[in-house]
Amino acid sequence: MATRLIRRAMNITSCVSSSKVAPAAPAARMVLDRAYASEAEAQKVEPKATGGTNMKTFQIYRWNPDNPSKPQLQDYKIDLKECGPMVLDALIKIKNEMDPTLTFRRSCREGICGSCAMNINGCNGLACLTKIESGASETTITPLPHMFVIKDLVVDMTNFYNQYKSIEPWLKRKNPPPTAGKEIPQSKKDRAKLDGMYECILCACCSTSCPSYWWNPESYLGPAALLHANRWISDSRDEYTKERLDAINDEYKLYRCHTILNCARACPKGLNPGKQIQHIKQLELTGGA
Amino acid sequence: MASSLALKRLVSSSSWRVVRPIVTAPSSSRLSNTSATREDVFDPLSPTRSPSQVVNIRDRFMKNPFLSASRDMATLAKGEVKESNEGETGERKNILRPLSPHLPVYKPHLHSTLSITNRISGAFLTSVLLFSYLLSLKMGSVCLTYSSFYQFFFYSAKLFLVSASVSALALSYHTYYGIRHLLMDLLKMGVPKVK
Repeated sequence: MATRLIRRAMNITSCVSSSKVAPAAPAARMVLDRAYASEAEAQKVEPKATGGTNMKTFQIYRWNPDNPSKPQLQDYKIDLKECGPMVLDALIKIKNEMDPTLTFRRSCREGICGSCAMNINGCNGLACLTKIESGASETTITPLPHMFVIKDLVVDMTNFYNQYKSIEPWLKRKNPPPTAGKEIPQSKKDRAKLDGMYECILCACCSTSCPSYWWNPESYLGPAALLHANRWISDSRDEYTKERLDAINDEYKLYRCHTILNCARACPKGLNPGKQIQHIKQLELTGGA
Repeated sequence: MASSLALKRLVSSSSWRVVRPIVTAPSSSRLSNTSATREDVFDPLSPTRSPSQVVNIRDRFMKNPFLSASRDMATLAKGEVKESNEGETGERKNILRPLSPHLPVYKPHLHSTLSITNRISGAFLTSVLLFSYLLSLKMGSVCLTYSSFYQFFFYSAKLFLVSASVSALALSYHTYYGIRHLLMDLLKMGVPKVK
């Protein structure tokens, strides 16, 4: 194809075979003769803009506190060919190019901060980790369910954080560490018990997906806070296990959980809060063992 | 609780003015307000207004002349809006924050459907039990002398067989779910991973 453009540099010392395409002969090298393509070659190149745009409609929940009226779903059309793969890319594109008043929380864009938690197509998740569904169907984006909306997709998380604080998420000991001034030793097996709980980023996807939490947001602690409660209960270095179990052994704080298991489905980090709550319930049954 | 804190801050900051919180109703018919109501809103001397309301309206309009308040009373639609306070900014505006949609938007999953079916079957069985108890034990034969009552029972007699089979289904499902729950609790069977 491009043989006219490349000629073989003849090595004076060695004699090589007369094949047109580049052989694997070590002595000969292919040298670029002319650096441009002929007109026939240029016609074969595909034009960059293929003329097909992949438009997708996003229906986004809007509500403005400065102009309070009924919340609306507003439509935005995005060309997916000029947009990143994740929902957060689409939201940022809308905010940059179409509507700068669109308000949402975001920070790390890699699924570790938990700011961009919202309800995408009926399921809670992080916008930076949720791929945009290909296909012509509309994507509906609403804020986290059953939370008070501050503006557009931003919700009031105060109650959620207060519930997390109420379980006292820090190490509590009655005795000083075995070797004074040094860390409290923990075996690998005991450390492995914390796997699946320490990774929680407090994005609130699980708690706001739980219907029990919807109907009792102030009395039921919610899957996230209970997952962290289990994290501290299971920590071998913590010595207040009995007190922690007694603190949540309450009709409302723990036993509003009916293993609906929406939380495990919604967690963007792949954790299973339902399993941890089950663990707490079993510990309560066996009397804090 | 939050509103009392904000009120305390209000009283301490603005000394002599006692402002009664006025909430703007989330009305969708704002654009179609007739001129009569708009006059009422902008007329500070109408007899329905108290002096504190006048002061509050004047303050709000000075800050934001485009704000239109159509009604004084807030509509507390059921589950739709709830009172909350803006404490962060300097503006002392009490607005109602809406609740984000939950049941209408959330997609049902396998486990959540199983759980709600368990609850529905339990409620159905309870009502069937109560109804059959009332029917068989509490109702005397004299009820059947009333013609409309008798007619009702004659025509709904076919439903008894259908409701019996449906309640058998509900009972079996409820029992299976209950046994599964017990096993998960007692035998530490473990909660299934849903993803």
